[in-house]
Amino acid sequence: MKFAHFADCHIGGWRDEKLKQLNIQAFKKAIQICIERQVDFVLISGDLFNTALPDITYIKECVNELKKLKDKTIRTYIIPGSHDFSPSGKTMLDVLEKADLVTNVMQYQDQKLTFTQDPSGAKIVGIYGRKGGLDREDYKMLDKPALEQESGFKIFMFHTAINEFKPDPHIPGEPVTSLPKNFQYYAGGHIHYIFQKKLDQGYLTFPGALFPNNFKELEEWKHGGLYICDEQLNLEYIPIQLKEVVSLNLNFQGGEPEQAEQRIREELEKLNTKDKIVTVRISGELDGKPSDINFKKLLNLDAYIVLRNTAKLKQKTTEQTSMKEGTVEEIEKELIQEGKQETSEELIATLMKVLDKEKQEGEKTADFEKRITADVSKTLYLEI
Amino acid sequence: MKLKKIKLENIRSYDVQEVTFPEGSLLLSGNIGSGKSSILLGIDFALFGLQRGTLDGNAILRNGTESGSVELLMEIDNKLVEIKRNLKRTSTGVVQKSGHISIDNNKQDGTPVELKDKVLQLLNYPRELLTKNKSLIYRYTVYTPQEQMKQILLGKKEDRLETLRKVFGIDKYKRIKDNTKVVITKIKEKRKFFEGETQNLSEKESALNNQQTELILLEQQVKELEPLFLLKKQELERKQEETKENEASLQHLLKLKKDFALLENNLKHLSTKKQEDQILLNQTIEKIGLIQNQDLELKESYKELIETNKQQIDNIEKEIRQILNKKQEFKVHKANSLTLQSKIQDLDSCPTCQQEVSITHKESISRKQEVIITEMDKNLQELETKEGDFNTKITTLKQNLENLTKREAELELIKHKLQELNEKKQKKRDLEQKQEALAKAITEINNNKTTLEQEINKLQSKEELFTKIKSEKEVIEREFRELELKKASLEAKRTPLENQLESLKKEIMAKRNVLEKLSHFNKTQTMLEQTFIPTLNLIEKSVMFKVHEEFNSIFIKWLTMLIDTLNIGLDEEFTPKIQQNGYDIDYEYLSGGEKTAVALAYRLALNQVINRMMVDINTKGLLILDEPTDGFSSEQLDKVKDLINELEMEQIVLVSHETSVESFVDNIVRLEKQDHSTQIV
Repeated sequence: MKFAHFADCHIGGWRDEKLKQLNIQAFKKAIQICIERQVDFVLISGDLFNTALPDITYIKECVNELKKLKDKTIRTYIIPGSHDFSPSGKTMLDVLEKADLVTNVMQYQDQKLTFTQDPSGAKIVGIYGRKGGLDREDYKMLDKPALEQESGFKIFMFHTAINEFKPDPHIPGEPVTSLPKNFQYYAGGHIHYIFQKKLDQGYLTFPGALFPNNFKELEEWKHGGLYICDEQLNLEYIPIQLKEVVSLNLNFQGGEPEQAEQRIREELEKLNTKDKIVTVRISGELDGKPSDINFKKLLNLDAYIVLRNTAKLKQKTTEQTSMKEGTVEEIEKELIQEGKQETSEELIATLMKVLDKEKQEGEKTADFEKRITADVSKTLYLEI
Repeated sequence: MKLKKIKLENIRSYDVQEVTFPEGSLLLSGNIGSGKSSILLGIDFALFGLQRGTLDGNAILRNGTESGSVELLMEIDNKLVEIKRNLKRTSTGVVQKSGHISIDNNKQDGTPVELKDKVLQLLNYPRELLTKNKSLIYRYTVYTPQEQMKQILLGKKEDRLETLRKVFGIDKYKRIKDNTKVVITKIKEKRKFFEGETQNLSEKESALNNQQTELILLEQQVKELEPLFLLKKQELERKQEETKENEASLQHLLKLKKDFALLENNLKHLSTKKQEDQILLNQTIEKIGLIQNQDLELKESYKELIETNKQQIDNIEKEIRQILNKKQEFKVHKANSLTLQSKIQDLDSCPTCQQEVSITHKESISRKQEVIITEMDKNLQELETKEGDFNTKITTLKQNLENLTKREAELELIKHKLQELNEKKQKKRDLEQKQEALAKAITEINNNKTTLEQEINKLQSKEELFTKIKSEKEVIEREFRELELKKASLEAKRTPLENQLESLKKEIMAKRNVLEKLSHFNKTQTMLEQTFIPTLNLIEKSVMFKVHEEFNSIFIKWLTMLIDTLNIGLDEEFTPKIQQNGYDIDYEYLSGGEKTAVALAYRLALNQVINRMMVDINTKGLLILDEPTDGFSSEQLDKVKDLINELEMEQIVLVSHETSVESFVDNIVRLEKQDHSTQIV
């Protein structure tokens, strides 16, 4: 018995067409590997699609690939993930299942989760993933003893983080104790990281996304991949890399946008970007406005695609501006009071009033300046 | 503000139509082009009139009609307000005519601008909006035409920021700062002038100090000089008195001395005269003796003999001259005859008659001439003899005359000597008399001299005393003059010095006044630059920060309700910063529905931030949304329902052709266009 395990394909997930294509290409590559490696079945631990109802173009492509597996009598077992699950049941996974291309292993019988038996002898069961930890109740309701008592080569598919092993403590997840014991293979999904751990007599794995699903994953993982496993639990992680990823990560602490632009240009010039996925992450603080950096011009490279992230690039503020409460008038009053030294609040307020004047239609600049100066002269007792 | 009712007359697709606005949410439903947005434009027009560039009369007035109007009834701040604006087509286009406004049944007619002014007052909008074409607050809180919201997101970031700054009123800080900079420039110019004015103040003050010191020194010198001067003056007066006392004696002495000198002079003169006369006397006596020793016998005069002798000589000389004349005459006759003789011999023909001259004739003539020549020689001989006799006589006579003349001269000399002798004798007598008189005068003078000498000797001591006193007086006088000069010189210095001081003091006082002004200007400039502008910057930053934070959080809130696949926030320039899959996406790359969602969220965020900031405006309860769901998926449309509920507006007017929107609202007005005219169905 040999099977492949991958998850989080997020087909249709990227906005950019080129990346969408790479995403589907990665899926195709995974299917090709599965066929080449003559696996008995394939496990997809959630989020095959990025949404419950993806674009028809990608459905077509996906169906085509799944059909290839079916033609080779390779079974495909899935669970819905947080992205392609729909509480209304309006999900493409249902269509695929109805077409007998995939099997959803989250099957209930008499309100109890039941195993799906693969011809290879493997017994597969799983719980879907839902956004915001809504799958927690399902774990609570899980009849673990029944599942644990089942004999044979058991596979548990899930789409959630496991608290004890999750890379980020802030991600909601389930404790490892939520999982039924005595399974040979725990096929995880949802968390995009490559992870494998011995658990009881078996393995708990997260293959990560099949193709990096976002900017950070491109930076961090550069590629996606899948696991191939046999009944002796010989695990093999096979990376899928269709395009090389090069990353530039710059942090500025001050400097004008022009200087930053120059620096980015210089750093990019050092990289070989031809036909590669280039990620450019710029963070930190600039003395001027970050929007003054002409990224469009700057990132016009010979790369396959250039992605930038400037979310943490801010304009430097000289002093900490604290959030003031109240109306504009109240803010003005408060700051005048705070800032007053030898100058009275009334004077500042009066000056603001006196100087808040606009040139009237037809008024000459010289006359306007004279008017302003005369008003200020009266206020400040100056003979200008 | 709550809309109650609108009546459109000849407005776009409306003939005459009234639409009532109930409380709560209202949907203006109808197909595209059924006249939904026209109602919104009607409200806009009723409130603010035509607006150049955004609300054109030609676009509002129904085609083929000459005039039209909009009447809007609303409730503002618990007042029932009705406003009516009129449009009229003219040859130059569609223009606004005056209309009226009625507040709690108090009706007032007004020009379009007056009506707008009144509306702004009622809405409590900033007054400066009166002169602006666009009512930005209304535009971004109440009603934004459908296409304009996306426009603000698609336009230049600078324009957007500028518009938002205006909407939020933050541009006033820039305006104040700009105006402050103008004032600072003026202050700097004035300061420069003041600095120029006060540049040499310290020099002037130092000059004042020096001059004051100089004056004090001068006064001290005058003060010190004063007693010396007085003392010297007294001393001089005393000496002058003393001099005066001795003056008379001295004058007398001097007169005596003068007289004495005169006497001496006379004496000297007389003595000299006497000596000279004595010498002359002696010489005279000597000469008399010499003359008396000569033979001085007087004889008869030779004068008559001399005259007779002279007469004789004259006569003989006369005779001789006659002889000489005769001799000359005879010589001429002889020469002529000789010439004729010679000529006739050589002559062949007569020069007069041209007749031949015969020898006979020649001889005859020659003979005649020979006779004459002989006769002439004889005459000449005779005359030569006579002449000889006369010359002998005359020589004798002349010798005789010379002797006589000599004797006469000797006689004259004796006469003269005798006369001289007499004269000398007389002179001798005179001199002798003079000698006598001189001797007498000398004696007299000598006597006088002695008397005077005695007198002078008596007074001689007085003179010495006087000389001493005079000399002393002169010394004192000189010293006094010196003191006086010194004093005068010091005093002469004092007046100009005092004048200079006075003018310097005035100048310094004026400069100090300028310096005070300069200091005030400096302080003011410092205050403006270091307190006022930084305070404005801080306020601007804080207001901007607050606006940004509020705007951002509200924007994210609304947007998240509509789309959950995008990660969106606002950058520092209020540009939506969109991320998906962790990388930046530009607004223009969003799908139509996403763009509408972002624009709607942006619009709602603007509405809420402005309403929060401008607490007093009276349009806070009203929101008009024109096709807010364009391009939305049915899922997103569902979310709009939640969003509208969340808005908690008193009155929402929605314009949509989406039938599903009907389920979100409290009231629906269905519009349909029939025969080119909109009807409520």
